[in-house]
Amino acid sequence: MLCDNCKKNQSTIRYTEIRGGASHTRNLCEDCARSAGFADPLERTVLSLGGAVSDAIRCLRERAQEQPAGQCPACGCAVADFRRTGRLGCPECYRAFATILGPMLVKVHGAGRHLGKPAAPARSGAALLDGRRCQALRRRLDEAVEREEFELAARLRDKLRELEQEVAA
Amino acid sequence: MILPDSGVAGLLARPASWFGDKGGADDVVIASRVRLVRNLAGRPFPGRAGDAARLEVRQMVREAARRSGFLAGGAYWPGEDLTPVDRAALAERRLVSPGWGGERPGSGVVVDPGQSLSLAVNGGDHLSFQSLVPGFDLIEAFRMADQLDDQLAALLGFAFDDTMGFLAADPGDAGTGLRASALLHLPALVLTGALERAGETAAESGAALAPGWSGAAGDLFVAANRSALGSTELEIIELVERAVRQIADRERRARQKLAERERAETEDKAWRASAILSSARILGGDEHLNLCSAVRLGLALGLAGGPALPALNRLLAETGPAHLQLRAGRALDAREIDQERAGLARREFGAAGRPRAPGS
Ligand SMILES: [Zn+2]
Ligand SMILES: [Zn+2]
Repeated sequence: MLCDNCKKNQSTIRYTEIRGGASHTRNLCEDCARSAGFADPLERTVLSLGGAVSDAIRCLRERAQEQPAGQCPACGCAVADFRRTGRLGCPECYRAFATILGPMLVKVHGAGRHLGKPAAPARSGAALLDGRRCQALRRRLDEAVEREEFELAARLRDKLRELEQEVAA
Repeated sequence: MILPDSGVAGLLARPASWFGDKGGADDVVIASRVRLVRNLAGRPFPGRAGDAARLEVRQMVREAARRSGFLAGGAYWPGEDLTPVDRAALAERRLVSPGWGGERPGSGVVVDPGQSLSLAVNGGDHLSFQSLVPGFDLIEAFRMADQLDDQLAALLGFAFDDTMGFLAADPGDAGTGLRASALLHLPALVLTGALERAGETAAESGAALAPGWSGAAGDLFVAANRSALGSTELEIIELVERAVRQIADRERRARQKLAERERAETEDKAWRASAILSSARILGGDEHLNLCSAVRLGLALGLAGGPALPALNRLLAETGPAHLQLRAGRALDAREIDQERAGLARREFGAAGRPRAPGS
């Protein structure tokens, strides 16, 4: 069977995507599968997120096509390059293509503003994180007890005690 | 025989922490992974950088890895020094993503001895590093990746924008640069036709469920976050955790249902599978995964015996074509790969009743 993507090579990888409750199967050659990141299950997700992200990225590339040809002054990456590869050339590209990237990011991520950790590493995330870990462990401990998985529960209890001591220290 | 210090083969001859030999193995959630993508400020991304610029970035990242507490004792290889089989084996072990670009000049990989932390240099981005742990522990995976991030950030200036967060070559990674994922074994949801509903539930909470292998072989799936921007890291971790918990609960309920209604069939399938695995001479990749899936289900329900979960997890990696070729010490054709795979499975399933020497 020929590859569904390039229609040139023999397909070697069958790829199933679950989208809207239905599964869609595609047959890809190794080159196309690799360039789509399909060879590793944990990475492959990006392209199989129910089609949502890949659709958004496709749409993002189409949007880029509508824009007048522009270039990043720092790396020379053109909108056309981005459209072809889906990749930007350098950090400065984000500023150079801000007018088109802004709405695209909203489309891809459902949001346009970074709320995560700041660039400078000095911050107090660790304490918050340890608190969250205790909470999560406690929840899993409760679940294990509920399911009468006592061996697991004992292990989780040890881990929780260990973590609480670590936090207190 | 592979010596412990003989490159990638030597490293991979040792068990990865995600196999769960030291505890943490789970019958539904096989492994949890958190990956972060970072780039150096003021430098072109690897795809647009010349060889000299890429080599310079590699040198900087390598030095930072050496000085970071976590990766200081890690093994380092320049990508171009590795054979294609080495590079593929690192991907089969889930230490790097396939197509990480390890064949290009200036690429590189750092792996800590326990294989729970790994870092790829000059793939799609300057740095892509991950923490990979056994079972269901996304918070622990995040904690390790986040601490490594802090260490590296103190040594390298990352490209960052107040609005768009950490800047990545692929705008789909911009923001936190975070992808949290869990590898799931969902045979009962597949058998009872309840998988799609589980996928929809995951989608409602902002996560996605996708087949782990082509054609969902072995009933292996991956749940991950859909977006990296607009939430804090912990919110993303929590969202994936919630989705994984919901899917795992559904799977466990479906397993109970199978144990009640199709007990004999499930038991029969598991024993037949382990009989084939302990005696086959030729074993295809998908066939192997599907047989192991039946064994895992039988084990989880206490209906059948077999190797323990860590051994099954190790088989998952070691039956990959690149692993088999590293083990054999030479290139193998497709038929030889299937034969070697059968040999490995036979050894594991033939020995399932006997205790294994640690690390063998
Ligand atoms: Zn193709
Ligand atoms: Zn640029």
